[in-house]
Amino acid sequence: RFSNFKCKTSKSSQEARRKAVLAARSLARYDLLMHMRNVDEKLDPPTEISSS
Amino acid sequence: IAVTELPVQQWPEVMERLCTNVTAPGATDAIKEATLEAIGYICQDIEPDVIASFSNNILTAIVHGMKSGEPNEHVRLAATNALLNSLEFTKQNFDRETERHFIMQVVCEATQSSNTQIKVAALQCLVKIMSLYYQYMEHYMGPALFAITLEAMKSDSDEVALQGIEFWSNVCDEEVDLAIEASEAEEMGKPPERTSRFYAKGALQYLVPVLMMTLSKQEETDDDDEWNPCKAAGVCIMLLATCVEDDIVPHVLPFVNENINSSSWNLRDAAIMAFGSILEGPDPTKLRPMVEQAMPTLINALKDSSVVVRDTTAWTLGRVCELSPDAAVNEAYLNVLLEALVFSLKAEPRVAANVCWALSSLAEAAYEHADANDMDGEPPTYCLSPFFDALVSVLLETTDRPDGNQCNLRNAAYEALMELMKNSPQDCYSTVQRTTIIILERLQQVLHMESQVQSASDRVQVNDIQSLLCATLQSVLRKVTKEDAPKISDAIMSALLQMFQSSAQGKSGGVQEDALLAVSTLVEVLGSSFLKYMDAFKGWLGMGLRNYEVLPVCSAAVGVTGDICRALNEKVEPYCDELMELLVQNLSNDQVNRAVKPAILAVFGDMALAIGPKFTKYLDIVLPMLQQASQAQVDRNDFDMVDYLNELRESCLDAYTGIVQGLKGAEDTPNPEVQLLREHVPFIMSFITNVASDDEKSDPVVASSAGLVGDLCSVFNAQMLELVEVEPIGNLLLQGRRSKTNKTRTLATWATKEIRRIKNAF
Repeated sequence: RFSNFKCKTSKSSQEARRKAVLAARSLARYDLLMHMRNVDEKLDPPTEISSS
Repeated sequence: IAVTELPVQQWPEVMERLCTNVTAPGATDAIKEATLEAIGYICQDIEPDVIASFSNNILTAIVHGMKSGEPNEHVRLAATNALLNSLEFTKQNFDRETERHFIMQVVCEATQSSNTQIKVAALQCLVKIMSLYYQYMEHYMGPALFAITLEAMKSDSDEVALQGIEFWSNVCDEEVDLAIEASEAEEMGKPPERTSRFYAKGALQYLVPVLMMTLSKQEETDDDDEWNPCKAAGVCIMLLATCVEDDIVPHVLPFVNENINSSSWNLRDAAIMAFGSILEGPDPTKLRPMVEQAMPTLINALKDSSVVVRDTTAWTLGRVCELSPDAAVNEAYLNVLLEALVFSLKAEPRVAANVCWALSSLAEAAYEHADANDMDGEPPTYCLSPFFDALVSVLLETTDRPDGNQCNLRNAAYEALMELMKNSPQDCYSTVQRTTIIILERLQQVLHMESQVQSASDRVQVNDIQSLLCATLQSVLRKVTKEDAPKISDAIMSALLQMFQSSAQGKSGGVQEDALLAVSTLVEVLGSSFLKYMDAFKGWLGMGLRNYEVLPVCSAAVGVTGDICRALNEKVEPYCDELMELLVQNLSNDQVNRAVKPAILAVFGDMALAIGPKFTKYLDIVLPMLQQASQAQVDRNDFDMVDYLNELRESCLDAYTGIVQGLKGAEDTPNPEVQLLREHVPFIMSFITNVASDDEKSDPVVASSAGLVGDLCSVFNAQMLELVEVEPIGNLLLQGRRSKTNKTRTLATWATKEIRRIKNAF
């Protein structure tokens, strides 16, 4: 409870920085793979299609 | 000794013997007290399962010692404390109505003891019972618990009042959880397993006046490190607001209006604290007019004669900026608010630290409100642009305040600076450039100070500053244009290398991690131009990879390795043997924390993508490792392990994807090396099929599985048909196409199209 008293959200703690780098990395991986697959999310929007 | 021996079926008679000690007719008070203390310690430390079978005897002994007829207060106190420690394994007794009534009666009686210690211990029991056995409390709440706890909240004894408040804070926690469970159950179309009795809502009209009274009992000399009823009341109001949402407002607002301009600083502070505490929970749109109305008073209160009021006001404005940003980011108040905040940055550290937090939230809110030309791009300008340069200057000054180590002020000022950088539009770029240079200069200054560090506290301060400067560098680097990055990269890399050198001597993991994270950002910004630093950096990267004893450092080093592979592409090849050796060593080493291993597997994929067919020389070592990792099993009752399994599987899938894509190459005609994977395809597909059948697979696992299915189809075409046309894979792709995440939908749709393509061709 004590830590909730006048608590503030830390936006840039080491943990937050770690998460930001991980998120950037995950996005970079995804973009690179989509480039390799020649799939463009913007030009090729997902649509519901039959699986059969 | 009992805690050690009972779990291994030794000393089986001890609990019975102890219980008899308490209930035997001739037992002395000293024996009873000592025995109850021993029972309490055993209950506190032992695994509940081990002792659950003794719960009847233990409860009998404890209740015997707790009864109001027990004349010796020491015995009664020891028994009450023992009950507190035994509550977790007496579920079967709470499940039986008559036993439950009896336990509750004894506890409630003990709360009426004139002995404060017994009263507090009994109230602690009620707090814990409320959390553990909420569903059984309806029978006792009206006739007993409500009155007992409300009375306790009003007590002059801080210890007693704290337990009374804690009881209701716990009720709120429980009922918030129950509300979440109810909405999750509704989403799944099922009735919830447990339901809320809305005690907090029902008791609101009685609780709020007591809490307001307690809020206004603060002392000017209150110690920051001391937990007292006044602070507990503040937290309880916040929890009530989260729990009952809009209903809190009419109960609190009259107190705020009546006291916000009071001549007593206690009442002014209590009013502002109460106002700040209810900003989270109620509907923001309903709060907005109330917050806007309060803004001029709050802005004025930043100049209150009492430092306590100024501190609470700065915190409340921080809450406004974070939770109700529309009330701050508007033409009517922004100028005057900024002026007041900047003025208060010069105030006491406790006030200034709150102001920094408010500025962080303000920057984020302003950026979100800005009109971007396109969704992904940086907005050309925003409402903080006219003040941006001045704000940055005053925050830089604040980071340099000699009292910056008090109340976390220096950290808060750097955090605000980072938020301003991160949330800066195009027309503030010149300030971002200027800040980059200043941060770099500061980094060089602090590195020069290294030799002068003598005391341990100086070392902590210097390390903290280095970490903060690295973090600020990351935020400015992310904003620097591709053209400007190479102009400053030499200076940045040289400072970071110097930092690795000095932190290696001082063994500061925190600094090394932040420096590695800064390198990650630099790699991302420079791309293949990072090559020129590789010879100087590879030694430090190797040192980070070998430093498995400091998990964050090792983790950051693994991450940088992947980043370098993606940035340098084929140019990373000369470094791969050495890096691969270190990665494989870590993966095979049992002493390396398992948390880092999924990231290592993913780096195999990054490396394969980077060097393409040249990765074939590593296949004999990498594929068996992936095969082993993809067969991992975990304890399904342990949620953390289920999360870990998903992470591990996602990394295996990413690694396979990188290898398939890397060996195949980017050209239309696949490289022949990709055929080396042919014999592994059945295993990879059985792994994906196994993952697909797992009900607990995460959305990223679905996405990566779908991507790999598509990749395999694009390489091995018709040979894949019999492996992909199975029910689990069909269900996996269907789940992916229905995902809430755009990436997952895109990958699952693409994989489905690939399957359809090869089917049509076949």
